[in-house]
Amino acid sequence: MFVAENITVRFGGVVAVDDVSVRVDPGSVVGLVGPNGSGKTTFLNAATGVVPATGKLRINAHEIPLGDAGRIRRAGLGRTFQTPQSFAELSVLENVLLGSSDRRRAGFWASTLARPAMAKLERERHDKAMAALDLVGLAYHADTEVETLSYGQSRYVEFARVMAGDPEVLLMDEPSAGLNTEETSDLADFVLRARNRGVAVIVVDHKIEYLSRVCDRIDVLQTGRLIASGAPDQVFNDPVVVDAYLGV
Amino acid sequence: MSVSEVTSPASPSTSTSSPDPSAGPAHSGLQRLTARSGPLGIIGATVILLILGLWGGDDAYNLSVLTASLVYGIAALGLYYAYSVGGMFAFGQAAMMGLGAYLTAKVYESIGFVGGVLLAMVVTAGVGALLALLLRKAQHMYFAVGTLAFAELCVILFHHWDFLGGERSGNIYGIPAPGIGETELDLAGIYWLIAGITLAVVIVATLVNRSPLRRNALAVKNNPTVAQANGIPVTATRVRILVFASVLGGLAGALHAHTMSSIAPESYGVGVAIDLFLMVLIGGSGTMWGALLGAFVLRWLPEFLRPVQQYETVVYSFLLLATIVLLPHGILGGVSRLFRKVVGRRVRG
Repeated sequence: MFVAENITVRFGGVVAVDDVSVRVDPGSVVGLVGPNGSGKTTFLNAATGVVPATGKLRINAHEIPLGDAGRIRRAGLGRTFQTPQSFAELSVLENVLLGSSDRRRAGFWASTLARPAMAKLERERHDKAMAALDLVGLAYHADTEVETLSYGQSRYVEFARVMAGDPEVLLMDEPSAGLNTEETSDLADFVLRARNRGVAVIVVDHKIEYLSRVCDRIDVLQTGRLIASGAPDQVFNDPVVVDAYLGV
Repeated sequence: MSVSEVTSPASPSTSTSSPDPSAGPAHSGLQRLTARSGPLGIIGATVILLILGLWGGDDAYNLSVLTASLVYGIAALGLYYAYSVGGMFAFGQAAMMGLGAYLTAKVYESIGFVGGVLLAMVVTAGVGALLALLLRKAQHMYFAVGTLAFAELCVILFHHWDFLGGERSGNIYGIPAPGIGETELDLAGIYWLIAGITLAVVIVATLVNRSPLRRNALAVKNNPTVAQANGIPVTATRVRILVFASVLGGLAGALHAHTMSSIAPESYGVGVAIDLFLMVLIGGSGTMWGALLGAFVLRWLPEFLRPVQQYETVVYSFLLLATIVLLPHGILGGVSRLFRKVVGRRVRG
């Protein structure tokens, strides 16, 4: 379960996210929508711990300090980015290995003197990474330099990386951006399967049809504030939301 | 949820992600991980060191230049980790050498050569960790400026070494050659000792290259924000890499002091820091072997230019400039590119 309470993010005098609370139960999908600049990505950044924020964050009933990206990740929160983010000098497999939530034996001694213990963990991490690559259909590109992949493939490398970490909470920032209709439909299947397995998912996106298909609830942000929340049909027909977000 | 739980035939295989048989078997990734700078590299390095040692024979001149090449190679290898793997413009590497050199010069009489070298490595590890923590928020050129300031402070410290019992000028003479007890090694013995230490360093570096530490460090270098969001400890990773680099600097400095028999502050100034960067860049910053090759090139180039001593600086600078312009990825990068072209042409027929 993902619970973010009273999240506020300030950049100097600008309040980018203003007292926003979002709760996502295991096995449910919440769509976070709003016009550009409404604070959606900043909210995800705050929940991931990569920007300073105030408020409370609980993952599976454990309170995690905001701003501590490592602990948030270890608590089971995985995240994808608006533009696919990969590590350029590494292969596809190495990129996915970096998604592992198991960070043990990654120091200097483990790399040299205590190598057998590290190697055992590496084998486990490798198997999970390969399973994640299988999941997104990129196993045959494990050895490929990630820089040589297409945009769509890079996005799926990111999905594989986050899945290799066995997330219990999944934050997806505009995952359908740059994907065609067929690929967006595949993406929806992917999100629904994650939901069916008990993952709490937040999807930031703009494609209403796709959001209506995968989301149990839609939360709407405007200028950093939560202005509406409810079932997709209800929210997308709410005159306030239509006025603020859809502009029609 | 585990990834195997969501695997299904309906997984989102995009039109761009269909299996490509030419890309190799699905599980070749592990082979790639283990192949990087693997046993073949270590065997190659051993053979080269043996050949060089046999070529050097008992020629004092050749042996001393070879030994110096290896010592600078160790320091440059450390810089390779800080710069190429960790993404840190560490201009303090020469200062780490200096710290190692001055420390061993101070303590060898009481704790011997081995003790002095080990102490140099331990102290430079601590200084490297402190420097990394102090500059943890500094990126790119800010990090470079911070380490430059550290390097200058160290040179001032070496100049005023007298408060630790050294000469007022900072020069220290009469440091004995490496040895155990009263026995000092001759030039050939020194070469084989340094070659053995270099090989040990290469083995450790190879192990690091095939570990999650290198992977994490490259992730932090490439994209620190995303690395952080993936739970990679950014500061701890940077500290580990800079400590490793500094230890290699300290080791090289301690060996430098014992192989040169005298040390001076200028031997560890900013000029040498730039030389170390040139070694990494000219050899090829994409691989650890580039740093070692670069050290040999830069140590031997002035020797080859002795016949044109009058124009040495001009020719030296011109050659460096030509290498940087013509081989932007260093000598090994150029060789690798040429190899790919030739192989590609043969494959195409």
